[in-house]
Parts: sequence; structure tokens; C-alpha cells
Amino acid sequence: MAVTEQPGKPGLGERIYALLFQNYIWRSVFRSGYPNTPRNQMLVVATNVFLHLHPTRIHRTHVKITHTYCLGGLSFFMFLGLTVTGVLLMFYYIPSTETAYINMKALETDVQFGLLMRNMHRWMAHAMVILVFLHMMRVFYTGAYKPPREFNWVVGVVLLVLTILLSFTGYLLPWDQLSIWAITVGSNIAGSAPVLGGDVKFTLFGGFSIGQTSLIRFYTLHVIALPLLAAVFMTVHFWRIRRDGGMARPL
Amino acid sequence: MAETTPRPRREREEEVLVWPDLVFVEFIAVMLFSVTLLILSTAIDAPLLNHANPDLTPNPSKAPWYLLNLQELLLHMEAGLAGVTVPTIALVLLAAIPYIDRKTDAQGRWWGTENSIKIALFSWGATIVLMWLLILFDAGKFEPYTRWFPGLPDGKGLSGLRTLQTDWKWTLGGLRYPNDLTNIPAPFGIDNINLAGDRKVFLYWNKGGINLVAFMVEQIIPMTVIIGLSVLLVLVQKVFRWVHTTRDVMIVLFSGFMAAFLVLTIVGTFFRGEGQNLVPPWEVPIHPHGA
Repeated sequence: MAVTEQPGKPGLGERIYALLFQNYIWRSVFRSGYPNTPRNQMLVVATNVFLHLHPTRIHRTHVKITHTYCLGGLSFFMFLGLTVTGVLLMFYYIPSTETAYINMKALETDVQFGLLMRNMHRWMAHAMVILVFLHMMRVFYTGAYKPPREFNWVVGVVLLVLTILLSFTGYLLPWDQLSIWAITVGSNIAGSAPVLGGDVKFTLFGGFSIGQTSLIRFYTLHVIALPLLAAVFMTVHFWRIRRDGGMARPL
Repeated sequence: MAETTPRPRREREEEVLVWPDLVFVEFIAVMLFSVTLLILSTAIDAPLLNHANPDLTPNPSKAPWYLLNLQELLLHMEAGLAGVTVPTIALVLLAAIPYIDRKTDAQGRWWGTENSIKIALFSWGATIVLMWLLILFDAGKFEPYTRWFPGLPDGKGLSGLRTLQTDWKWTLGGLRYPNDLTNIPAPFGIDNINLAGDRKVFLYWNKGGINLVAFMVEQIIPMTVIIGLSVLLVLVQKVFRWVHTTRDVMIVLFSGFMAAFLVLTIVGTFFRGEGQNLVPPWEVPIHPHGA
């Protein structure tokens, strides 16, 4: 009679592992098992809504940090971070010319971690503008805009403009000398457009000069309209990377 | 004996799993940035100056830093051209790159073509130098060296492009510059068609006539310089026999554009003091007068 090898009794480690990651509740949340086997590692990417922005497998050259420097991903991370810090700031900010400046002062003195949140929001905004530019340069110098990725490059240019507009609209909100004059100068630039300039400026300000009507416009654009628009274009941007065959490869 | 070649590795064998290989890299990048930004945020506070006062203009008044390139450009040409027309054209051309350069070769790896590193470095370098020369010229820094320029008052040189509008005088046959060209009567005596309000069809068409001198100094010459230098940058590198494909031309133009953008941003941010004068960075006020 042939002797077949029998599995040994599970040790303590394996029993703890089973208790933690193979119980009913855990499996209801994470459909795949713990990602310690190639099968589970692919499943965890494919079945998780956030991770499934990625494919399950990727060419080894694309994992090299020097190929992308993670610039696109980091731009997106800045957007997420700006959303989180931005929502926290919204709890303390009233978009009124009477109170906005006082709210900003209170953020510095009365609110726990208020100044830290504002500083983070500002640094991330600067970082996002720079990262988006660098990402564009990476994509250009690696020739990743070439067919079939033409349209995604255009979407990227739109996202660049939206990033700048998001930053620009946020600039007015503190309602101090720096912000209103920077926005005045910026809007005067837009207002110098041939033929339509006056209308553009009137639309931005909601009047002939900067005031309460401008503040509420910039605020609404900054906290809801432009982020939503950017989210839509980002969805298309990420979707198209996958649809166009993943990241560009030499033919 | 027949030559043997090793079996090319199949695409599948060149692939790695996203979890853990990519997710790990992303995690490290995110952590690095989070920590760096957190440290920056504890070290350097966001500025909050005095309460907004529409009656008190700070000197200098500056746009947010990523628009200072346009504000800088504004000092050298007509406002609408610098602030709207040029950036709009630049953005449209930027978006059009993949529709102009349609070849699929040289993609998915850095640089791609034979000379692309040389081309990019030269284009960046040459543009940075040219931009600085143009900015210094318009700030009047070459005035002492341009006194030979004909048609200027004695002992005066070119203190920028504006000199051609303010101090340049000559006659050719019966034509007197600039007097004969600042108020050219429109044909058939028609007036500039005003749409609603102040919307002029042609900016230099004032009551009574067309100002060709202002048009030349504020629009024609700046546009010619922008287009001319871009073309020159490509042609020079064609003469070097570096530029062969459309991709190469794109690298020249994109590099030149990014370099010009960078120089304008840096000059606008760090070298413009009170009255938008060109000054060294330590003379640019951090808290401008009036803010």
C-alpha cells in the first residue's frame, strides 16, 4: 500500500493567521485572501476598488522609479490630500468679506492644528502645481503622448489648466492684502483679453471690482465646481491609461 | 554552423505583480512626500498679511507665482497679447503635440531618438540665455552699448523696445517717423467699429486714426521675436545635423517653451521689485510696501 504524505497539524502561527484573516467578517470585507500568494496578490488588486486603478501585472521597466518618478500618482495624492485638508478648513471658514479674515486669524490662534492644516493645504497646493508640470515633462520626454495616447495627453493639458485654476481661486479666500491684490493682478491679466476681456473680468468678479460677489464666486469654484470638474477629468485620465494599453512601451 | 540566437523573452515573463512591486514603490513615495510636507508645514507658516484693503495697492503687486510668467511677459508687450493670446496659443499648441508628431517610434522610454539629449540640453540652455538677454535689453541694461543706433538723440542708446516708440526719429523720402505713422486715417473715413461699450475691433484704432507705431512696438515686434527665435532654435540644430524627425522638432520647441516659462517665472518672482523694476533678489520685498 502506497504511503501518501499527510499534512501536519497546523501550528500556532497558522491558527492565529486563520483566525485573523480567514474568519467570516474579514472575508466579507476583503474577498481575496491575505496577499501572500501570487493568486491573492492579483486578486487583491483586481477586487479592491481603489487598487484596481492599477492592472494586476505590469512590465518590470515601469516599476523602476527612474521611469516615472511617481509624478502622476503623486499629483493625484496631492489632490486627495488637498481635499482632506480643504474639508477640514471648510469647517472654520465663512466666505464673507466681514468674517473671512477673522476666520483665518482664528485658524492661527484658536483652532487646534488649524495653522498646521492651512500650512499643509498651502504646501500641497504648491507641490501639486509643480508635480503636474514635472509629470507633463516626464510624459513628454518619454514620448508617452504618442498614438494611441494622443487624447489622454489633451486630457492632461486640461488637468494642468484646472490645477492652476484651483490654486488661483483658492488664493483669494484668506481675504488679506496678498490675496486680493494677487487676484486683482491675475484677473486684470485675464481682463486684457482682446474683445472679451471686460466680460471675463466682470464674470470673475461678479461686478466691476473685487468684493463680496467675487469672494463667493471664487469660493464656490474652489471648493466644489473645479474639484468636481477635475475629478471627472481625472477619472477619464486614469481610465484612458488602462484603455490605451497601460503605460507606453517601446514598440 | 548556423548562428543561434537566444529565444527572446516573452512579454509575460517581463512582467511583475503590481502588489507588491508597484504598490510598495507608491507607498514609499507617498510617505516621503507626506513627511516632507508635514515638516515644511511645521517649519514655514503660510503668510497672512493685513486685512484686504482695495484702496491701498501694495508695491509691487504680484499675481500668484505660477502666473508671474505672464505678468513678466506683460512688461514686454501689449497686455492682451502677453496675458491671453500668447498663453492661449501656447496651450493649444501644447495640446496639439501628439497630433503633429504622430509617429509611434521612440515612445515609452526616456529621450528615444539618437540626439534627443543633446537637443534638449541645447534648447534649454540657449533659451535660458536668450530670455535673459531679452529681459536685460528691455530693462535698458544695454543702453550704453547701443548708442550707435541711428535715429536716436545724441548720447542715447536703446533702453528697451519702447525706445523705438518714444525716442526714435527719422525721415525717408517724404515719410517722417514716427509722426506720420501714429495717426493714419482709416480708409473711407470709417471709424473703429465699437461693439457694445468699449470693445474695440482693433486696439490701435483711436478716434481719428490708426497708431501703427504702437502696434509695431507692442505686438508685431514681440510676436516676430517669439516666432523667429523658435524657428531659429530649430534651424540651428538642423544645421548641426541633430534634428531629423518630427519628434526632434517637438523636443526643441517643448524644451524651449518650458525653459522660457521657467525663466519668466523666476524673473517675475525673484527679480521684480518696486515698480516692477529689474532688481537683484535681495531687493525684492517679501512684504511689499502697503501690504
